[in-house]
Amino acid sequence: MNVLLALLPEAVLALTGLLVFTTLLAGEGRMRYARDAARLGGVLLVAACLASFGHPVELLSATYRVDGFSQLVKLGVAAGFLLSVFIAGDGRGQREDARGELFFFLLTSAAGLMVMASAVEAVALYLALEIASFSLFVLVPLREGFPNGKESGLKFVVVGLAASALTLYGLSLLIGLTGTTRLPVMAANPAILGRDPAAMFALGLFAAGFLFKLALFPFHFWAPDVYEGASHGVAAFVATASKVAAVAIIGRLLVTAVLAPGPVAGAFAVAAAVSMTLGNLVAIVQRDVKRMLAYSAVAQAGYIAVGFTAFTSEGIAAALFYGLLYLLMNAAAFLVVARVAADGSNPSLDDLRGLYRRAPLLAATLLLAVFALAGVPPTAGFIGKWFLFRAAMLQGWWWLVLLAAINSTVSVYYYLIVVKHAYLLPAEQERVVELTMADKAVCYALCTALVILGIYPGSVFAWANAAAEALLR
Amino acid sequence: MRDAPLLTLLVLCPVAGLLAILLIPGTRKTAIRVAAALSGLAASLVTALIAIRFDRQAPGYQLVEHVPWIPSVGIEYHAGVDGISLVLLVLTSIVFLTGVLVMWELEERVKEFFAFMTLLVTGVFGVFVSLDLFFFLFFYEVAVLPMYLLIAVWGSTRKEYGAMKLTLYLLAGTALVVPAVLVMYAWSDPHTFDMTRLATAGFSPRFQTIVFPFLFLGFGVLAGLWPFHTWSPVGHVAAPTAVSMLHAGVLMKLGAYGILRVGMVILPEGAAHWAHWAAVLATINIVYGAFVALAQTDLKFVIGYSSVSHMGIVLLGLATLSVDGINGAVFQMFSHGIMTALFFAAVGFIYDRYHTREIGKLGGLSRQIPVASAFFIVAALTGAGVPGFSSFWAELLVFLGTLRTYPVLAAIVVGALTLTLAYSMRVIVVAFFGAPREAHPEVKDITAFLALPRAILVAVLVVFGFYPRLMLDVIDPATRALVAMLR
Repeated sequence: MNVLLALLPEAVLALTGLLVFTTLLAGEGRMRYARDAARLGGVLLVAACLASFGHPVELLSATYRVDGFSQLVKLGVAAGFLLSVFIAGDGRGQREDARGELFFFLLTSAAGLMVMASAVEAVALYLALEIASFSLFVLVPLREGFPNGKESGLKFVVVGLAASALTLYGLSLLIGLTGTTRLPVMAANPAILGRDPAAMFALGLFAAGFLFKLALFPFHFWAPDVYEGASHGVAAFVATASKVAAVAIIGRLLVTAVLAPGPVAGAFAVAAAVSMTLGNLVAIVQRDVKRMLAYSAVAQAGYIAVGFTAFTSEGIAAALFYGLLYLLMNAAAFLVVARVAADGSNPSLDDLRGLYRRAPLLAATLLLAVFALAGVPPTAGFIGKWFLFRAAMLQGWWWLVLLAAINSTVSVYYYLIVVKHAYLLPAEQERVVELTMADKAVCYALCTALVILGIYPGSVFAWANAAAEALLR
Repeated sequence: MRDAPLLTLLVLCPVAGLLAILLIPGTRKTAIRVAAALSGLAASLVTALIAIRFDRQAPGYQLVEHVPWIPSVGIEYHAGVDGISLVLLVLTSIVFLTGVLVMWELEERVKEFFAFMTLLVTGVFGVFVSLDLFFFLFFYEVAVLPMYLLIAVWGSTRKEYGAMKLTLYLLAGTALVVPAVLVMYAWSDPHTFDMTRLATAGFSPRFQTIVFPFLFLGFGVLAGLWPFHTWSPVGHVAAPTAVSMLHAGVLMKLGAYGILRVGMVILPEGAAHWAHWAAVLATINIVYGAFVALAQTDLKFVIGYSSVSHMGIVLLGLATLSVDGINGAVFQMFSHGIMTALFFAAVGFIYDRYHTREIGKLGGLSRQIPVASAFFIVAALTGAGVPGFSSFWAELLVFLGTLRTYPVLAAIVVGALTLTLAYSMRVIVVAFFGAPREAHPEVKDITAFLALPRAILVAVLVVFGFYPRLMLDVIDPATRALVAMLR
């Protein structure tokens, strides 16, 4: 019974996968069936994740661990999946004949991410990473109406595979040095404990694949092109579910080296500093909203890395918490993007003009999302960053926190430009934006969550703390 | 008998207004205005209740509310009020209510305006009651961001530039404060964000000397400290009337309050070490602000630079680290707040009717619109420190405090006060007396309803001008306690 409940999300995943796959056999109308199946599956998946809390178990010769940490990550991935499917709507922007398959591959990517959350064995982790990544490699180039779709797809694949190659190399070194592929056993190995430079190097390489998913410098080069090139639903998935999982897995890997921070912390600090600064400075000049969100994602990866630099359970808890908040912020932003450019094209800043009059609810959602990304109270971004900076400061990283605070201010500039277009500048033509009841409901839900969590993060932060502690056990 | 949570109630008054405004459809403009006015009235009533319950003899913070918020991180909801914060709460309530009334004639996007305005005021109330650094900064930033929208959408001259400059400058100030606060948290044992506990944390003098400048400069940006003041005149000129009233009247005081509560109380040795430099910068504020105000041709720019100058008086008073100086500084915070609100309210009316703020284009206004002119003239006289209005006592106290600690600077300040009289008189004579410089269509004098908020502000200035003890009896015990801790 315990095992059944613990594996409920995986069971629901498998069934949904079969269901969506079956709908794809339907021919012409398959998009609608696949979409509905994916939405239903998403809702059930979130419910299953919630139900699976509190049933820790280790399976498959201790390579697959279900605990507080893994289930929290799975919940995040499920929420991200559901929101991305919702944002994708009818799959506009995706190539006409791939609209049904969109939902299937999002599902398989979610499956990969979920397995990643529970895998405590390096090869399983790698396999899950590849499943998650390849599903997205397929989806990104299948874009309609965007001439550089293939270029962005190619960049994604090339950079992604390069990162995977580094991960494999690191993995091989780790196996050679420690003689095991199980992460907990690796963590207790003298080579790791003794801060053997070769072991640290190997761990760093192994982390490359996951840092790629997080879009942290220097693994961020794919982000702008992929965000711009992918259709709205796919970009939303990359920005939400994929990120949460990446944050979580990096947390898990750090724990493997938690007794030996040393130069790795320094490397993280530098990566964080450059990521933040680079992301923010380049975002300032962007005119395409999705590209701007991509550079903002690079900067946000930098802030999350500030939490990692602390190398304590508080840092990891803060990073995990911020990852979950980040999911909400990005989901809100991409929902607005998708509804404003309902034909699937990429909206520019000018397309946001006059939004306060055309769709006040969307304008308000965009305002909250953007303020949350900027770290402005009372949205959740403020308290999220507060926790990250606190964790780093407790370990003495005052210069990093100062740089991060300055970067937050710089980022406000381009976020305010977005607000300016939506709230101040009049629309050249009054293009009506249509919202369904479901759209409105999701907007209200996201807005409420962003504000409530910003004032009282209590329970969600407690989950993140518990998860971080579960990691350390 | 347990105290009712009056402080939280106060912070919730504008929140209630905000929620009501969000629920009222945007077409029902009068309903929205009434909702905002009612929340202002409610806030004033709660403030009055707090003032009545406040015991001037009791030491320490009163009406304290203490709720653990996120214990694992050391964040608590800790609210309390002493003489200094009480005075500032009264200031905020008055400016909030009169600000809403002054904007009664607004027709454009009324719902959004009052929504952002109530959000802003929530932040201000929150800062003044907070005794936990997390919530202090939380409310501090809540008070900054609505400014961008309020100025960019409803403002006038160079509004987009003014709004962006203001917001970025103020957030740059916060970027200095947040790391400093986190450093204090990390270096305290046990780690805490609670301001009362940090005050007794016993940081080393060297630590204090390094961290204090970050707090002073970071909060100083909002206080209009030279040379980080350039956002202020541009921002005030661009902002719509009520927003200018709130901003120059109340928000700039947040900066000075931050220096006092966070800088001076928690890092007294750091403050003492840097006091002389702070006094010099404050004196530059006073002199520079006055000189530049003398050269302005736009009425609102005159007021903007006069605000920079008067905030210099506040900062100078704080820098003396003496009872008189700090009493004067807090009194000036209140007095200047009311005065500048009156200034902007008066100019707002003139701009609405004459569609110009250029001094060169106005003239003889006192004959055309006598009552409205009187409001401006009263504000100008207050700014010049004329006896009978509250600023006289404030500036006198600051001057006395400075004379004892920095006699040279005091001499310079007296000279600057003469300059203040000069630029005030210049504006009054050129714009309000003499012959009209340009032909203007017939303008009716201010109506009783619009005159009401302005009259309230005048009344406050006069009451405290004739009976300053009302203010000083409240502030003095708190100041003495503070100065005792500084020694």
